[in-house]
Amino acid sequence: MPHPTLPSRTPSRLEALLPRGRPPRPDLRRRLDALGGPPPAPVRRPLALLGRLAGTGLGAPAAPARAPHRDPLLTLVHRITQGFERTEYERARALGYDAYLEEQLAPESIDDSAMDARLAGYTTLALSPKQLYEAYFADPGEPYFQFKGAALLRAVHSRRQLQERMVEFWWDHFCIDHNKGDIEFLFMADHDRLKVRPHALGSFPELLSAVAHSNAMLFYLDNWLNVAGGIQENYSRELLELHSLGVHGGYSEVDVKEVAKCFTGWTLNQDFASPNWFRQRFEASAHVAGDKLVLGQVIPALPPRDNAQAVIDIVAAHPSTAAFLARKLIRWLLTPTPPQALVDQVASTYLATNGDVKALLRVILARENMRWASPLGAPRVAPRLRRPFHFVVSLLRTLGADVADPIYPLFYLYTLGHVPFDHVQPDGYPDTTAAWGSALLPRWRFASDLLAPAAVFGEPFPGVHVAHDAVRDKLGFAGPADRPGLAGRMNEHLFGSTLAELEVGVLQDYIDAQPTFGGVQLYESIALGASLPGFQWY
Amino acid sequence: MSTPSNGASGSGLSRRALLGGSATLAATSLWPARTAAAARGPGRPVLVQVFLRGAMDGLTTVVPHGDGDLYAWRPTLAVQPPGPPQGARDLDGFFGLAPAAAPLLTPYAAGHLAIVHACGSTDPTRSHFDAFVRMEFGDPLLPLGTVDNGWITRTLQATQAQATSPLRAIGAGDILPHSLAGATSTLPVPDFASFLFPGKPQTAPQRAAAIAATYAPRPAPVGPAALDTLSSIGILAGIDFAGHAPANGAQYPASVLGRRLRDTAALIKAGTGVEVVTVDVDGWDLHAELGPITGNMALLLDDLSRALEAFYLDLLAHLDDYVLVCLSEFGRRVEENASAGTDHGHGNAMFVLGGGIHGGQVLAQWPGLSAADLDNGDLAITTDYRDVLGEVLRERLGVTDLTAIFPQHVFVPVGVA
Repeated sequence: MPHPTLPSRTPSRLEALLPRGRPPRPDLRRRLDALGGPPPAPVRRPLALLGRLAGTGLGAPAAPARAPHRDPLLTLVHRITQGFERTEYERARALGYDAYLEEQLAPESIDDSAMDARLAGYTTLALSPKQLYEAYFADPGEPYFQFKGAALLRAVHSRRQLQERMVEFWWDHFCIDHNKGDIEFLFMADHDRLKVRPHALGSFPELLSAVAHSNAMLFYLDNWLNVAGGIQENYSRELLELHSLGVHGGYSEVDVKEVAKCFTGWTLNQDFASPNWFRQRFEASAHVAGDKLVLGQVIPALPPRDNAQAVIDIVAAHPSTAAFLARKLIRWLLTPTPPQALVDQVASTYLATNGDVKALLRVILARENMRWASPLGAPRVAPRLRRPFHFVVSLLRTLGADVADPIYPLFYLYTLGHVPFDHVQPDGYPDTTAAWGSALLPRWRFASDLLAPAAVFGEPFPGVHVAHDAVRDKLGFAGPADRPGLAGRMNEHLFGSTLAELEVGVLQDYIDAQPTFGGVQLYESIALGASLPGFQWY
Repeated sequence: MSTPSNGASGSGLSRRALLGGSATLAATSLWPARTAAAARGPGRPVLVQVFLRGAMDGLTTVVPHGDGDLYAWRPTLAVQPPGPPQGARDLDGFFGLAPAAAPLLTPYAAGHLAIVHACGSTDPTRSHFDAFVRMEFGDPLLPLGTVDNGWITRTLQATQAQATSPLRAIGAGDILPHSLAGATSTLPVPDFASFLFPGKPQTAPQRAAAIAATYAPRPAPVGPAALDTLSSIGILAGIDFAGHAPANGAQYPASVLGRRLRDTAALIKAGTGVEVVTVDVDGWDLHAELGPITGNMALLLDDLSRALEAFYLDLLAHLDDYVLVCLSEFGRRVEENASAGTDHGHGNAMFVLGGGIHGGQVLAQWPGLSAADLDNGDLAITTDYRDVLGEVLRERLGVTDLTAIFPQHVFVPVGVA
């Protein structure tokens, strides 16, 4: 039943602004196909019968045997880095709890020149929208994948680990879809470099204001089109619901409309001759005249340019924002079930410090709060599941992997549904066990393909060099004679003691059951260990 | 999770027996791959839910061209009445399909596609994320309501006795939708064809046994999901998704939605005992540049309607083996905005496809579009979406007690099934 194929997109207001047309959308799969394609399917029908286990009674839920308490410093390392790595932990131990935390809270004091050198070829990260458009409008794949790849590289290799962890948090809090309108990539580098990173450990009100006036957000939530005579409330709704007060934070539909009026006129510089083309700009003639009433407070008509900042000031100082952000940060750094007393404490700190992120983190990450952050769930504490990005990065970090090319790790994140910056909706990738806890097969597959690549690639995993000598050294493994106790050493030195006792035993049994045990079997065992439930939490 | 058959947490199987005894496990398999087809009764179609995330504009997709007020609210965006090439494809003299949705005429004309308009969840929220939860949990009163899981989850619970497979529901994507929140024997499967156990075949049984033994004690969703995953690999691995040849000349679009509906059709034909498949489609939140004829909305509609048409044609000989519902969290405001888009609204159109559906009609108590008719500027809701779903569940899936699915809802017949 043939139907005519639609013509390409209609010329739109947007395209009228793009002198050379709309760029094509980069495609991860196509890019991989050009490299030789994604890995072939693994074992086709390995064990149709193993399913039996589900009926054996082993499935009865019960608390796993575990030690509910661990060294607070170990917990801190798990929480403020993108994954446990033994030498980092040893460094933290040498510094001590408070000094290590303070070091990470002052990223500018940490020498990260090796990271900078690694990103030296990622030249598009520093380009303006105009430079990106002029250089890459015909083939935006390069800046697009550099941006995604840099996020992965920084998570794995940067020494400013807490900074990276907070940058990831803010990118979800102020989520922007890399693919919007096929041109959002023009704004992303600006946004990351000029808006998110400078404020990631700074003042939340200043971050909120920076994002509100950011070209990337103005485009993503359509405020660039919000003008007198044509109110566009997409951004104002999400500002209140997702960025500040929270959906039950006490605003009304009228507030949504009034906030939208305050933001009229904040648009993009549309003068292609300007080096600031597609950067933010205020167009006074497009601003709705008159006083506005937001959350019960009058915002005077003049000066129009300041109306937006007046909204930011009101919502940033609102107790609902303090509570909403406190809860979300505790979830991110400690536990999915934040204790109310701690939420209250962090919220009051927010109000007392005018939203100083470092002050909030000091409260949340205080040594005594590490008891809320056991990987296995201390009594009445829910453990935190690694999101897929954290799972992939953690495994790469603990193996001391040198990621020369991030494209294949990005492919595996694609199979896991967690490619950086690809969440379409403005709520950010979810951060719950309910959301991520059922998709386990792609995790097992990444661990196996990374560590037993011969089965898939017939060669080392492309673009990633595992530090084999260092791994063997960490594990005290020189040969088959070192099998005894190997699972326990893996747990301590590679998995950051996340495996439960039962899991260590099962892993050791697997190791002992192998007829021969060389390097191949060693890495298969590590892959299995990383596939066990303990390593999915942290 | 699969319900433990004996409830004993202290199984007689030791850890070592698990690791060394894959042959024993194989011999006692309870769920051999692909034996469920015969067990699935003829009266139990697979429920397919296609959820359009971001608020699909039902006034574009199913345009009420017979209501002149529409053209006053939407002077530039409204799809014109039937006639010109860019006009609506007429359905019944009052409603018509946007031209980009024309492929839906195929099942509509054959009487297998029903459309319900001015339909939705009666809650007043205009937040996507709030609306997802309320609609998919099936309770407009949330967060004050009485339910804490999805409406499809409760459907699975109500039909537990008829389950024939350890894999009862699939979320065709990376993350399960709220409608499957809390469901057991349910997995997200982003790509049906690559749902395979990794690594070397020689060690696979031992590795899988280690995974099973260690995940088993973990609480839901993770522990049960791991066991369900191991149980389900054989089910999907037994189907040649890549080689699936669509019937009746069906041509699926080369999109994620097209691939997922194609794989779903292959799954339905294989008769695996999977009872539910959900598919999400993002991108409908078009506050700017709606593009009803050749723009953003048209591209989305083109993909959606081609995929649905192909699914329908592919399964023409299996009409009674599925029922597909397609819905969105709410509609969009009646009046267009100055960015050539529309903001969040209320009432919307909804689709039901399959055998046993009273198709070929638009079911609507049309509330009208004059200023006085609107609900805060939005299309009013005259049909509760739970009445549509409830009727489908009762008439097609054999659910007798609808109050177990949608508590405290008083059902009103719609006539869709």
